[in-house]
Amino acid sequence: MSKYVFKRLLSGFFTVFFIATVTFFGMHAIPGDPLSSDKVMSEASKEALNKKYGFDKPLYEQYFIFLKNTAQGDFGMSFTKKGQDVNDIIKQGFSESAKLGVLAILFAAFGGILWGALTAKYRNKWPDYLIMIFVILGISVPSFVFASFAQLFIVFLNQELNLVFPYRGDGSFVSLLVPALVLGLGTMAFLTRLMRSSLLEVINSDFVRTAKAKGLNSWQIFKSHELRNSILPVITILGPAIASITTGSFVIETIFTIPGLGKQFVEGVQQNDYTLIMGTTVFYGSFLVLMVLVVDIVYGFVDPRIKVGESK
Amino acid sequence: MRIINRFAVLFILLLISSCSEQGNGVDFNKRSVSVIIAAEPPTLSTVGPVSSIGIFFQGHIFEGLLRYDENNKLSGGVAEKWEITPEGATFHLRKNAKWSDGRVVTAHDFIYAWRLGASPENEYNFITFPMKNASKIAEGKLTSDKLGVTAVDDFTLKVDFEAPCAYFPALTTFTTYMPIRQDSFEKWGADKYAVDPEKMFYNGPFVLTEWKHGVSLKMTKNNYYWDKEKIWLNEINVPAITDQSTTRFNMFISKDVCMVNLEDSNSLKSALKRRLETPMKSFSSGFISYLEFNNREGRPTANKNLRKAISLVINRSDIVNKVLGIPGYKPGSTMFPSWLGGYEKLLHEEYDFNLPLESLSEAQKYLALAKEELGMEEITLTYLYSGGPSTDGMAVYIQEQLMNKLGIKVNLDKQIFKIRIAKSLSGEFDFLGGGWGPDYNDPMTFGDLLASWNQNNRGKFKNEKYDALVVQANNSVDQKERMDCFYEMHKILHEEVPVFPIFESGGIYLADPRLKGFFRNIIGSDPQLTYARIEEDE
Amino acid sequence: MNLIEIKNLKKFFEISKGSFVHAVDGISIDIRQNEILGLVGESGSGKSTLGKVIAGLHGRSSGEVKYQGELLPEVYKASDFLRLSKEIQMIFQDPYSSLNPRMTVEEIIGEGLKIQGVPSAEVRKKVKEWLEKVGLQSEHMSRFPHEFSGGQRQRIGIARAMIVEPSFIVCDEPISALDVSVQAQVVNLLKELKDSFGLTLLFIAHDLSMVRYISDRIAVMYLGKIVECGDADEVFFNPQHPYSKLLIDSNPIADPQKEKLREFKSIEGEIPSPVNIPEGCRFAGRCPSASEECGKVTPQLKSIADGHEVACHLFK
Repeated sequence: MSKYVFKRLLSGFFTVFFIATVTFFGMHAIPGDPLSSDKVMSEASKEALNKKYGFDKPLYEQYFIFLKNTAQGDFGMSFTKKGQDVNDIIKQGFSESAKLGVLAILFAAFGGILWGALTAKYRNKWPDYLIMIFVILGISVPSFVFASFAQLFIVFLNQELNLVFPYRGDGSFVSLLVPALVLGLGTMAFLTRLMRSSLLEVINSDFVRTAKAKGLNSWQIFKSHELRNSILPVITILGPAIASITTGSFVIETIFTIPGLGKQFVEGVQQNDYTLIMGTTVFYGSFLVLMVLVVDIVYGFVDPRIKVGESK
Repeated sequence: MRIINRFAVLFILLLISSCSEQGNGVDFNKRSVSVIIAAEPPTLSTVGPVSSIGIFFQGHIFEGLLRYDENNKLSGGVAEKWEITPEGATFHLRKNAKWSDGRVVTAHDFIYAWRLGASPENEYNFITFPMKNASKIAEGKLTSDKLGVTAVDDFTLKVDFEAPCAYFPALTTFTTYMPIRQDSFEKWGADKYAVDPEKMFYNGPFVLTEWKHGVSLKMTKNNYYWDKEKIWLNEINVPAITDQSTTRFNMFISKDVCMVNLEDSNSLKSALKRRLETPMKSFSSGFISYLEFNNREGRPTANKNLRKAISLVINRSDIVNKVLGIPGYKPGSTMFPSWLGGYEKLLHEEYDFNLPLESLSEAQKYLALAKEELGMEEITLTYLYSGGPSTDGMAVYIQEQLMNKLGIKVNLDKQIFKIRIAKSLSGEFDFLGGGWGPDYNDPMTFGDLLASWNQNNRGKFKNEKYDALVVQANNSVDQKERMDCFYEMHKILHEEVPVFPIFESGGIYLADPRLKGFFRNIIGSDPQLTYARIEEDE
Repeated sequence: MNLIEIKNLKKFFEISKGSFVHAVDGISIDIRQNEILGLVGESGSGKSTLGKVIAGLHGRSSGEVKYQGELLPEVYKASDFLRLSKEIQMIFQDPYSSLNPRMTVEEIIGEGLKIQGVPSAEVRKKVKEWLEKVGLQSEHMSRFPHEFSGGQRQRIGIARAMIVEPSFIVCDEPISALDVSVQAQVVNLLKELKDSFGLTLLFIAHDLSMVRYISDRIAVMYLGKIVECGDADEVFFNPQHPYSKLLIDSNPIADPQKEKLREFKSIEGEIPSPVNIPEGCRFAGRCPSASEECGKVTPQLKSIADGHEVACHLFK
């Protein structure tokens, strides 16, 4: 097991290294740099600033400096956010994004399991059809549309009913609920479908009949037999889902004014903020690699037939 | 079930308890207002990258030699009197102007700031060029201590001009001309100075008391400010930062901010639908948008007849009214927008900038000429632009007009902002969607844009007569003569079409009716809330 | 004394509007205390359905099932399952799919007790006991089903059913999925358990010799009905119903010499669809001695000797 984890971490390290390298050179190949702005500065100014930030050095040298600093865990200072360490930006941004992301994943997982179970239980009856309509909506409508509508709806409701429900992120937990729900919607819809099909398979299996013969009621059967056996696909997509939710939160974050990392990432790209781009890329890359590994390990716990790290 | 019920009760309690008070947009009792901004300022250093959002803050927390007063008229700031001659200017500083730690603001604070401002490392150093030696310092040929500004004593500042500069007093309100405390700047260094509230000193009506990066900012009244009796507000809050115009609109609807721009037709529609009691007002952003043709050799657009042909088939008012449909925009026929002041009145009231255009049928004639001169049968052009859906609409309109009316094929090259900038500088375009905003309140801020030496002249337009007019206007202190020069420049641009102006941008905004005494500015802090006050609720 | 009394039991499955599968079609039979009743028949004869109806896994369409004189509910509610699972248990055919692959052996076996509110320490102790009683080791507790062979799994299935100490067990083809070599072991285990716990078993199978070996009585089922019923040896060595005869004749003889000489008689035709049940005797279409009457009148079970009942018009 530990050998397996080590091997995976090593390959993950190379993955991140690869991503970082490609991003680094890709980023520099794109026209423009962090210093360019609408109004052109003089050649002298440009030279002075290039020298200050080390852009006058050959690219490979900049690359090695980047590698060296990254190895020391230092992504440097942001170009466009003066005086801010990229490390601090990531730390702050991610703590916000993580709160939002974890909530979104929880919503998606619970919602997906709940709706999936309902559709499976009422297969080809109206609750099934009704939920599946929403599922198709959830999969096909992009989250920013839902986000705008949700916000408008809350504002409207607040006005009509004289409420003060938070319609944007103001740092409180409650204000994260709606953004998280919206953010998790796509995943929830996808999970519902997945859960439905895998539950339908399990519901008719022999061991569910056995459980019935043991005298278990339907909730007990659902909890410890049906759910446990149908949840594997859910866990499978949880890794990618965490990825898409944490990186896809940009629009939600701007609409609901949540100062998350997704927002910083996109702003970094728009501004050609080299250090911020590299910092967030390496961070996201490592995060995803780690998440996929965690999911693979969790697999082993959920399905005892899967032996993590044993070759066949 | 009982557990679920308990959870539900807990949840509702949580909801109720967490709900904050509604409507901090304006608060009479606290004397506070809240505004929303689209992006975080990169820094509040007046010698760092210049941004309009930075200027909003800088215009409240710093004060230059001159300032715009409660009537939005130029008046004394740190300087109480000043004299200007063609050779230079002298400013007499008031002795009661203080920094936020109580130290007196002296002429040396200005000299320190201006030297930094003129240095090559300040990308906005061109704004100091009216001062003697500034352009040489910017090029690195002279050290910054050679800048033409001296302190006669602690409270007298003497400026030597490179060339006569009639608008210099107004220029001293610009952010680069704000004073800097040497001790603070040196303590934190250029990169970390003014990026947190404690990393700077303030001499303006307000001080920054809170800056949660990416989240919120807050300014509060500066008790050391020399004219604090005129300042009614205690607090200016920026509760959130978002570039989503719908979110900003929702914040206004929820009374969490005192003012909002209706930047897209959706929020305008929704504002109209709600029949808000708030009256809609318009403002000008001061920006002019135009097509800029590439005059570099080898480009088909270097041909004047082709440019003229193109300019004749593009209808400005169609773009503004039918394609963009953004409230507050108006068709612009010149690079000198209508809000600019002339020698006595507004520039547009003194000269006719709407020169008659030739008829559409002439376009074919010009096209035929162009094809002959270029020796080309088919013409394909690349249009470089960036932006959102509205600029897409404009691009498609242009593409279609050129195809239908002239048979010219246009390839659209849409890029993100930074790439557009880079490509426009390296000349990888035939024409591009450009825009320009003013840096100071004088037509020259637009006039010298197309001077052949100007780096921002991305189409590399070069016209000796035009260049001569720029020099003439620069060297004159006679406003009438200068305005005549600008009008002549306009005529050259109209004839040569290196750029084709399309619209002056602006917008519609809503402000809480209780909020009074604020200004929407084109130059300087926008909105300017220094003298704002709130009417008491009935 | 009868432990189970079944009267005119019917179980139909609706497959589409108005058309029903007559899986169990009017069965009346009693199961005596402490006996093993063998139930044989071809696939599709409804023997498994009968077992599941008795265990409450299927509701019944009509008729009665009494356990110790108590009429069992037509459709079980959750509380009925909880109560009756202590009395009536079932052992399933496929030991591979009928055990939850995500649960440890301890969870699988103990779950039935746990839901009865037995403290977990007690459950653990009992699981250990029962693992040993069915011939496994107590350290197998923490393993998962996929780590066991088929025979071992069926022992787990038996322990699982036995742990609540029921008095009646439906064994639904418990050995048909197992290797022949372990079939006898499992059958012997069941027999031992029956003797030491005074169990009553309904043993459903199609392997006739194994049924004869374990059963006290045998009932032969054909298309939802019992066609013959009697003492195990009587039915096996002296079958009276033409179907029973054919069924028993088709059973291979364990002696290869004799098996070679045996005249191989197969039952002509397929078992008819249980959806469209023919009029009269259900076996008439395949019966070598069918008369005209067989096509019209459904024969009832009649006693032809002491405890030997046959449903056939040949016996008047």
